[in-house]
Amino acid sequence: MKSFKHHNARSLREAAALLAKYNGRARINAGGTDLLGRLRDGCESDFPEALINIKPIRNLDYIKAGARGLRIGALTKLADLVASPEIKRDYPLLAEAAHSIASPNLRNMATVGGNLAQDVRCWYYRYPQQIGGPIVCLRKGGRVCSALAGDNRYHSIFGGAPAAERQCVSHCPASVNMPGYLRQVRQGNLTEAVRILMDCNPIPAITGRVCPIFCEPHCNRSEYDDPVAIHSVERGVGDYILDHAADYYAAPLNESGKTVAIVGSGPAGLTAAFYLRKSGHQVIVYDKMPEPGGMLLYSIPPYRLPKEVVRKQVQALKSMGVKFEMSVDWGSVRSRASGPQVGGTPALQLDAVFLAGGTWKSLQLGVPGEQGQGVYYALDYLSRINSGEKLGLGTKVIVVGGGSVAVDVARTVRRLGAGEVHLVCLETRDLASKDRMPALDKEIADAEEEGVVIHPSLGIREIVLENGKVSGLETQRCISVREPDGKFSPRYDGTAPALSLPGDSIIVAIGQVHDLSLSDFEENANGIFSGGDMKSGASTVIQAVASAQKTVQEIEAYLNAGQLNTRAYTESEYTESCFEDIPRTDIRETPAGNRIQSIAVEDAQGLSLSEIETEARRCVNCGCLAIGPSDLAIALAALDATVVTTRRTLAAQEFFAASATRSTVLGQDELVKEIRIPKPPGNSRQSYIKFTLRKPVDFALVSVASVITSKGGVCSDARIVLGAVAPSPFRARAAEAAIKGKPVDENGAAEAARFAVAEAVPLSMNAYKVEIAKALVKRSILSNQQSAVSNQHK
Amino acid sequence: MAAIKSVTLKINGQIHELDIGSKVGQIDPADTLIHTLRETLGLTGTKASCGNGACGICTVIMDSKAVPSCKILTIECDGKEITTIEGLRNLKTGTLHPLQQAFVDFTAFQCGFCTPGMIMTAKALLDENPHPSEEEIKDALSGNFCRCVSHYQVLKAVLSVAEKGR
Repeated sequence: MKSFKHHNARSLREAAALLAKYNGRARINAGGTDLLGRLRDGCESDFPEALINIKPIRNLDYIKAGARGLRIGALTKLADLVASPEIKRDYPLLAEAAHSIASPNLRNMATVGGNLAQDVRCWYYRYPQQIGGPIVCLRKGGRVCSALAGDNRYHSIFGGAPAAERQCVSHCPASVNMPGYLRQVRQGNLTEAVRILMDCNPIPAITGRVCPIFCEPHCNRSEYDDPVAIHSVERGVGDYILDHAADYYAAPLNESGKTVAIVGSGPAGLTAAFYLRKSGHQVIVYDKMPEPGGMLLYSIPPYRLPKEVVRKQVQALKSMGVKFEMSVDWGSVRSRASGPQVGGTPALQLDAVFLAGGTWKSLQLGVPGEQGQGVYYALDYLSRINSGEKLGLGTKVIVVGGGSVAVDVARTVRRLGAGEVHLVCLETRDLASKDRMPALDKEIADAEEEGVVIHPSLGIREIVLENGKVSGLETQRCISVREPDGKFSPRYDGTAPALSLPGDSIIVAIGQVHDLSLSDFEENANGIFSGGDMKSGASTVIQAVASAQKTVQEIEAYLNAGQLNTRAYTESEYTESCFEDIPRTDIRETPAGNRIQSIAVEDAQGLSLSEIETEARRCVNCGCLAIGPSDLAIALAALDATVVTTRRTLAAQEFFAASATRSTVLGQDELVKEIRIPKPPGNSRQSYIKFTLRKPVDFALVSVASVITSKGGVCSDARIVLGAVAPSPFRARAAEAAIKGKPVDENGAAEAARFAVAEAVPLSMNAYKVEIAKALVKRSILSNQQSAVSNQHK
Repeated sequence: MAAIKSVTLKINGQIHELDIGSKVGQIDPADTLIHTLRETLGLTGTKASCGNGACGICTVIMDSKAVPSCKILTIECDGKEITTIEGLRNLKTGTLHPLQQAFVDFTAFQCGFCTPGMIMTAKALLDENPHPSEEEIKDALSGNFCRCVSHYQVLKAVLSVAEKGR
């Protein structure tokens, strides 16, 4: 064993102080029976710097039985629990659970607190150094639980302990609960899936088409094969929502009497409109363009986002009562409204204003020739095309810029029949470089596939004009775009030979900023809020959604409407972790040759509902599948015990709420102090059954602890807790409900047993545990144990 | 709390004062009791096997309780009284402890590797409860494994001592 610093603590306070001092790099030794094996085998990825021996602490080794119940000190030996006559008489379940742990000699060392705080027995987690460990599994900060697709015969049958951070969720700007809605899609509960999805993103049919997909690169499924096609599922659910818009965009039941104006009908405006209307406010959306949708309609080309989808989305919002006033300037609204910072008539009383005007002002190159005929700016060009205008650009078109908008423009031009499309940008085509083109990998690849020629690492020196009309451009070599800190600061080598490119027209797509005329308000003063690109600078649709979400919360707080749009979805305790060997099904792309025929044909076809259901089954629901390690935990949960720590007093069930990295909620410098167990009702019967492969030493395959209270053979109350089947003690509430009020007999027990395992989601190799659990629950309910310790399973 | 500099152990009646450190003959904080007994003090009567407390072979008696010496850090044994298999016979006369003699009489071993642990566990039981029932003996020895299946003879041997003087 590697060496460590060693401390003898004389008090819990001292032990806690040492733990705090070592900040996660020390371990407590309360008995040593678990810890020393772990250290010896080197199965921890971080060997502790110090060990804190708490055995010298006095007055923590006691069993006090009183009229109201039992108090047990944390350093009480398990052997003393077995030997205590009071425990044997009044808490036989506890005596039996203690007796089932390890062997007599180990119980002479092992303590109650140590038993509660021990670590899981998963063989991947404890894979020893001698044979190639440690394995960096999910529990040790890795990406996946090794038991998911591995040998999981001793693992959970009720799902995994959730990881503290789910990578897909944390990388989504709008924090969409992807595992949550995928789980519902998989189970065919589309309505519930929609609810979870729309909690964070009310326009998934749109983001399902244009999102740059922040989540999938972090999907842990890629440890096995390919990431889950979350994007495709999102699009499928999004289309389903729009097809059933009446169900999901319903008008609010109660009106708040407040009115909120939204300026801008792009993604941020639409998102805010949905949430604000849902809370019961009157919502009026103003936009300077003739049709709602903002950038969604006027900038993103229809081959990526069909106008039909945007129109359906707007229609859905209208059906819930959102009003749209188009072709109006905010200034003119302002002059006729009254309310925050707004003069004018009382005809339009506004309680809050959300400015989400986007970034519509194109940046200019600032080079000679830019004022010539045949020079266009990206957003102006796209919105004219998307409004149906026909623009003759000639046969050879040059697009300047390396971002998504530039690529959109180039691909649009290509689809409209330009024979040659050249894209000139400052950045490099090397996508691994810090100076890479900011457009997405896939957009760049698609553009090249469609015949767009990219000329990277070039700055524009001059636009060459002939008779005031564009005839081409002169470039200079760009040697660096960004400083090491990421700051945009291009440097050129004017002496190096650089490209001269002839062309009939030039479209400048080097970025856009917001129109200052909109933001000449004092933000947040008296109910004026801003969000979306207008606030953040040009970004993506999902970022605009996220920004609008955040702003809506601010607006709700400001309006103090009392109906905050809180996220109603509560996580279930365990993740439904599972691994199914299904290949990825993604949206189907049209071949490049067909794509370039028209801008109106969508590039990719979505999946059917049955296909998204199959794809959703590929989500492994990241969680640690190890089972809770403590046998006493099961007994304590059944006996309704309380755990007193150095910081707080918790119900046993709360104390053992497991996460993917811990089996208890004990903080880094928190220790168990005492266990308190209330006196069980006089007419109750207790039972503890542990099923193992070998009787002594071995760990439970399944255990059941039950306290059944009955009067005249009829059950009046029941607590049934299963062990070794889940990351924490599994309270079989359905079984308890099934037996309550029924005779405690063969039929009642069998019925309860069925309910106990109804929610089981066994893994590939542990379905047998479901059957064992069922049998043990039945046996436990029927076992005729009054106060003596049963012998049947010794 | 300053780290301790040495530990004093009373093993089979004899006092051993051992310094904490990493030199030969010193006790490293990570040293287990079985390591100290066998490697530092040369008391090789106690056998080492699984190293995980699962087999019972390394059992010694510490402060009257049978414990697995592989699961104990020596640095935590300061002031403890420890009995190993070497401490059972009468050191002056060489006479075997009645339990040892019973194991010989009942041939309660084959290879003998588990025997020191079996005897120490049985000794702790009899010290606390001189006349245990068969069930109690079985329970007490339930953590002591034997691959040669000597358990039937072990049970007879321990019972024979338990019944003496009844």
